[in-house]
Amino acid sequence: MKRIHFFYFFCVLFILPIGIATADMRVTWVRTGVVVEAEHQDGISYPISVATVSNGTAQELAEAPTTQRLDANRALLQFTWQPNQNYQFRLNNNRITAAAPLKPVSYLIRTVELDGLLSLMENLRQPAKPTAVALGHGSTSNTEKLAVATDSGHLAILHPITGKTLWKTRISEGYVKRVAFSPDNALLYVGEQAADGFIYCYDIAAEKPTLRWKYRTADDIETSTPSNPDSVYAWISYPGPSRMRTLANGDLLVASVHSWTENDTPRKKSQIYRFDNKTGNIIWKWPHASAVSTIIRWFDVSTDGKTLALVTDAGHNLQGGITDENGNRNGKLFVLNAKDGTEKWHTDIKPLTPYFAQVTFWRGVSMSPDGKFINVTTDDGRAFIFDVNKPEPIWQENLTTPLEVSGIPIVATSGTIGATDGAALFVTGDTYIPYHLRKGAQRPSAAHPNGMTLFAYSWSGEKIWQWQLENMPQGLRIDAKDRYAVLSVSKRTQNPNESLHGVSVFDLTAEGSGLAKYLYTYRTEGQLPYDTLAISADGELIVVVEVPIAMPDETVRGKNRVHLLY
Amino acid sequence: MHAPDRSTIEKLFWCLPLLALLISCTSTPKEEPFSWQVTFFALGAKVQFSTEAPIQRLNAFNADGVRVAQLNFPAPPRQTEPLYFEWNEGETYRFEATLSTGRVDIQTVTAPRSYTQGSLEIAIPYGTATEPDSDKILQINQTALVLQESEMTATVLVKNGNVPAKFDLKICLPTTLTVVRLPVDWRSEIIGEETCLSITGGFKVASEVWYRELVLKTSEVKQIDRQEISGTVRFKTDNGQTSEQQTTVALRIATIPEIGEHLSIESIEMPTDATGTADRRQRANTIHYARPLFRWFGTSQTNAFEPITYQTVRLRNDSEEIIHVVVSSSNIDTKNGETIPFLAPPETANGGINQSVAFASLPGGVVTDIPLPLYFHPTYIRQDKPEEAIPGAYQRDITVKIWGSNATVLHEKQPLHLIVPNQQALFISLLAIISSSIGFAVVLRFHKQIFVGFTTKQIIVIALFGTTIFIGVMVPSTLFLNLIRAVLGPISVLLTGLINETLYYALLTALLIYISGDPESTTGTLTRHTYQNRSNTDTTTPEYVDAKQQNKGSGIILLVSAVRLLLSGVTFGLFTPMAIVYTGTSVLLLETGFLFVRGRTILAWAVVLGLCDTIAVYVDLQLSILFYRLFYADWYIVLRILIEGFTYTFIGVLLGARLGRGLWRVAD
Repeated sequence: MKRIHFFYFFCVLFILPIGIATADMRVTWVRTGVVVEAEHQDGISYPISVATVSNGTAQELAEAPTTQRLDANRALLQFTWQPNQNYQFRLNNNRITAAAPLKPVSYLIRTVELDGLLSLMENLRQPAKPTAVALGHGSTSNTEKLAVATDSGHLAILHPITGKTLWKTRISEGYVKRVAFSPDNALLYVGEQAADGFIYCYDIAAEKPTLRWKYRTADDIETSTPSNPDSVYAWISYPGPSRMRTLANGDLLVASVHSWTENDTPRKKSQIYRFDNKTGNIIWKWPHASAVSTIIRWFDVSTDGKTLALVTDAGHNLQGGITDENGNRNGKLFVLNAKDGTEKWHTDIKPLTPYFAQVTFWRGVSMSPDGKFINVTTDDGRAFIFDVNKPEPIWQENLTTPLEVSGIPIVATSGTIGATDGAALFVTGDTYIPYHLRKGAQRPSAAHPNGMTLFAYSWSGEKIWQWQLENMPQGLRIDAKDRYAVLSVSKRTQNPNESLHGVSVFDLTAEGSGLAKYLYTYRTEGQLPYDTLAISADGELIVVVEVPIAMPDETVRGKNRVHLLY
Repeated sequence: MHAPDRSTIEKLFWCLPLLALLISCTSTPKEEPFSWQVTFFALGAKVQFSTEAPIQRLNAFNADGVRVAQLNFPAPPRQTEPLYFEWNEGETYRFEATLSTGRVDIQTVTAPRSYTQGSLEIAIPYGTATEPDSDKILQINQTALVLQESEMTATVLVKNGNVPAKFDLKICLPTTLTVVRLPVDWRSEIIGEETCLSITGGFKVASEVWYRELVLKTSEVKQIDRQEISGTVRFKTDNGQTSEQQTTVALRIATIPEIGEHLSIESIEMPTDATGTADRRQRANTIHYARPLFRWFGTSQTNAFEPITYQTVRLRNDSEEIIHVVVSSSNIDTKNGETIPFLAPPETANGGINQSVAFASLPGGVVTDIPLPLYFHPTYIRQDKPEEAIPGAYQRDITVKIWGSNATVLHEKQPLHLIVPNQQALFISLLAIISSSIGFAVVLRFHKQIFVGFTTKQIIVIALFGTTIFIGVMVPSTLFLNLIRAVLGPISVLLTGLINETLYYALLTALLIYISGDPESTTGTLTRHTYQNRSNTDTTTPEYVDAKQQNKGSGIILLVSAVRLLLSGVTFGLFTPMAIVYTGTSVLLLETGFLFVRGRTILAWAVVLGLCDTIAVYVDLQLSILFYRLFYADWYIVLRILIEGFTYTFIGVLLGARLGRGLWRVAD
């Protein structure tokens, strides 16, 4: 055999298999462990051993990490790693040693394209948009369900780790506003914003899900026909749920709201329900007699399901404003006994004159999981903390109230809030003042000094930490353990320098300042719609929905897809 | 030269796959050159890219090689990207930029050895202060443009670093500045010629911001001394570390006329898009809103919180320095000067002010486009009651202020038309079109019967009168109408109506009397036709009958109008759909009216034909409103209907009766 032949066969017989056998094994340090990726043809062989390395000596972990298989070549090893510590991983007779970083990074498990799954492009004239997302309860390893829905009534349930479609259907022609799983993940609640405003309960434990019960909220809060039913904004004037939340026993709490115009007169009706999860029977309604003629913007409930806090306002009025039933333009905070729907107390929040003629809320109320405290924020930039037993605020702060320059009030949004047992979280947004300039045009900063900031206050009103956000907040979620807070930031802009879309993750238990608590921001190409964000109960899995955004050069960034992350 | 032997070919055959393998391993796509710079700030390091960099990932490692931060970019990164991590003073960090091609660029940068705990900004006006980088910059110098003898708002911002700290702040103002209102907790003292304000504060957490507003008033500058505001903040952390930062703001004091010399409004365009590009297809200065019935014409959907359109103010700055301005526009009712509620931005879009506002930093020597959004609410709430938007002519009041000052530097007013398609116009026009079409179909179907009713001589006379009307009415009207309108404006109808209406109806009435007979004649209502028949034949013949019974006279107006329309169309190109519809409607009305009154007195003729023309003029106005999107003042509509439509027609008929009787007698 000639030398060249020998060299060639050497390459084919030895070098290539060696190359394959020792193919890249990568490790990614995530919050709950390490993701191991191997490009071995037979995939990962188990078990994978993990050892700490000190002074050149490897020592196996005292407790073997739990392994969660993602696919043939990827696995999550769940263990608590220490920053700046060397670890050795043994896999398929290969070893890799890596130093743990100071902070974890995000890891994309997969993306799930929604265009085909949810028929988003079925109607090309008015493509559907993903509007709601929910993760099943329990730990990630047991969380076998992820629900995604659209404004055209499409609904899909996926397996979050494998991305496999478990069930998909179209529940109605309506806008799916909210979806929620029961604590045992056996039921899926769906709330539509449509002419009937149905609340559906699907039994998804069986192989083929069935409708267990449904309730027509339009019977209580009326229905209406939009002046232009073909408008993309038509859904706004239909009845629909502003908030849905399941309780530990599986019962469902729903705040249904209807804001419409009748004979050119703005009308509003809202009602809160507690449904029995098995029968769909109403356990209680608030108000008991009839729907309230204001908007129930948001509510929150303690983990034990005993106390509920809600905020109402007279709606965003246009120039002049309408008053509530008592002739006031105040916002109201109500605290209810969530067992029977009786009112414990309520308080009025007066308008911040002269800039605001009325009080309005966005996601303006949150309750500590232990049910002891309530934090409230108004659209005018004020923040409040209440003891759950007292109608007077124990703390109040002007977070982003107007700062007047040249007669122009600079005020920022402050409607995104959350709560843990230890802290009240307030998230402020961008300035209200619209400034539309060409790409690259300069302008003085008109951002409120406290705008686009995540504030954490103790329940006694002492500031604990704060963090400057990189873009407009689009939703805040906190896991059931009060450890991780995820905050999506995004903005519909054509300015590439303002075009940052992503999910920022915070470790609320980390000692120190905001910098210590900030872990990372997972960025997406496209925009993140409001409220399309979820975190698993154990905080391990994060789900975020991305939608495309058009850039000034007419290119489109991003896709309709779900990102599943560690 | 000899051919390669077989062994060489074999070697090549074996080598080619390896060669291909090697080439595929070594070749990399070409990369655009780019540079990047790393600077440290309180929360980590900022990476600044010179161009749009094809970066996929940024990593930062400490001196031990441990990764301290990572940032992945699914889309091209922004010009400046932050890597958040806690850095140690004087430690060297390695930064890796992974390009889309897989290449890794590396930089090693040493963190600053001395670190300023926080920062001080004195923003005159707000938002224009230089944001300091944390490393080594202990003193910041900047310049602010302030207006002489006016109030300016200065915003003082103290930002905390990484740990809780207390701070002492001292701000010294030159003699030309006085504090209008001293905020609570501030102390004031005179040091030399300066007024110094001081306050003590504290930060409980990292990155906290403390801010206060100071309203300052500038007096007339009498000396050429350097005017500046100086500020010093001293931080003391809980563990006793101290640091200090100074900020100086040099003031350039100018009068409003001085700024006005350099600053001008180049143009104000509307409608434009959000980027300032004008939409030439749309009518200027106009918001067009289609009510529900008109939506099938194709209109945009309205959302109260989304602008319906934009106006773009183009500002020229001829000076050499940047001027920070705030441009605002409010839509006002010219009658009472009040803000129009249905054209004001929603309350939540601007903090309760009824203005669209934009801020801009105008670079020297260029024109800057500043788009301002315009909102429209078809229905709105006023005094707790729903109201509908009122279409009409309004005004945009555009002001330009120096950012931070309340003094207006530039001010301009522009019209704003709100067009809501008139439903009445649509119905009337549709009715007119349908009626005209039916009338036209009937004429086509029965044209022989119409012509049979006239003698050749009568048809010639009708054609002659049609031509006379064309020459006497249409020609002067077409030639001089624009001139008269230019001179007399809306009241030109008083003059043009004399020709268009009085003269026209005089000639038409004369023709009607000439052919159908004088309604008040003692000989009865015998037509010229029957009279001729009577003179030539036996009076007992069947043709000698009463004209009323024969229904003679119908079709005269139709034929005259047709002649008039054809001549106008051929000669002046006035053969337009609108002219056809108007003529058809007019003929239908007048023929119908004449049918009922031709046997009655001339006064009845005048009243009925006057009423018919009144309706025709009204239809003409509605057609103009629909097809040309015109707006008329109420008084103008009343003027045209009453004077041009009825009065002039009434007079014209009476005058025409005299002429007609004369002709009748002559012919008799």
